[in-house]
Amino acid sequence: MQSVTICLPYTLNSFTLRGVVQVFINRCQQGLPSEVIIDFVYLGFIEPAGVTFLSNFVHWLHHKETKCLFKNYDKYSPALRFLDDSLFFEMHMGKKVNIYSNPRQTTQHLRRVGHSQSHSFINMTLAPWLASTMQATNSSVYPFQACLSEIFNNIADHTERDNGSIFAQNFPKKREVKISIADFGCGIPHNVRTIAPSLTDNEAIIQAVELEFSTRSTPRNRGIGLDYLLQTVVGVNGGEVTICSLGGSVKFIPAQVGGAVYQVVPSAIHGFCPGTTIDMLLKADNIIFVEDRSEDLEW
Amino acid sequence: MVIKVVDVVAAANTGDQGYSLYLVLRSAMSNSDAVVLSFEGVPVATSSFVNAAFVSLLDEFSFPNIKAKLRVVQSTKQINDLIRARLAREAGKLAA
Repeated sequence: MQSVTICLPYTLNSFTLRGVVQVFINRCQQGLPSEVIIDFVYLGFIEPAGVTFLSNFVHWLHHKETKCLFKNYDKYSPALRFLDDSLFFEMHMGKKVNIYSNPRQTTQHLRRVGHSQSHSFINMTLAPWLASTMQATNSSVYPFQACLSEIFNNIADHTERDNGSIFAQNFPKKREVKISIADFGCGIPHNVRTIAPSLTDNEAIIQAVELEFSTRSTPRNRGIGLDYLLQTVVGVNGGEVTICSLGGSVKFIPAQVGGAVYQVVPSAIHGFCPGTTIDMLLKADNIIFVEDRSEDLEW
Repeated sequence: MVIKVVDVVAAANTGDQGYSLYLVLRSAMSNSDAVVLSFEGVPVATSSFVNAAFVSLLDEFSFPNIKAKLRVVQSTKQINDLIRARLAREAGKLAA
């Protein structure tokens, strides 16, 4: 197969892209084509997860030595303007579609961050932006800052490539911030099945977030990071976390019944995510105020 | 004895950084009954860091002993909450 065209759907998010990539994979039973053309003609709306998922997919195609071309990206609809402002085209084509496109104040533009730079990027750029957009003190967003560092630690610990793509958007009217991080490593289900081989992809994702579940990919891993993410974002903040990895997609939302911290909502729809995409939804109104001052530990 | 985290590691993000601090803490706590650990200039710690730096101490010191010997100062709520939660949980498992 020489060339395959992928038509993006009207709405671009991890849910719709999983389906698109699954259809593409099904068409490539004999191996990936030498060239993929991504057609933007129907694109009308993009969510933050769509930006990182699509970018990660393009990186994955390049990694698989498949050339990736774009089509109908220059008609300049609002959705394409948003994608251009996110610096998607600059990242993947080397230049913006419109020279006047620039990252918006409500976003942290698309970046590909290696593990060695990830913590300083989070500390110096993302966390201050998060505090400012959520009108919170720096100390109030430290738990989210730690969660983001946990995700990049997971990428470094569990993938052969330690790069993650990240994009964030503030929705001021909804008082919400969405942050999406994607990598194209071997995927959470692949890692979990090294010690629990019978699990489906959804089951493997649910297992991976269990407190103290660890594949011990490094000797000091204790399986705390993803649990801390869910406790912080879903349990304390009342936000949501969605994890898409290989054939699995599971959303974690605040529990409706007493006792549990979160409710697990696995997707029943077939789809495929190269590597892992983690989406966080944070609620500005639920931020717990913490004063910006040091404190001593009271045992 | 006062140990400043930033004199040992640049940040509290990774397990490797935590292990570096653990080596310093273990030595200090073996030789002194009063160790002060300052997190001045370090806003956030990850679970990997806390596990490596503090939970590993439970291999050599009991939880009451750690609480008696170690004072953590100029820290943040995020760091303190995580240290407390991780040590309490792991000490509880050892006691069970």
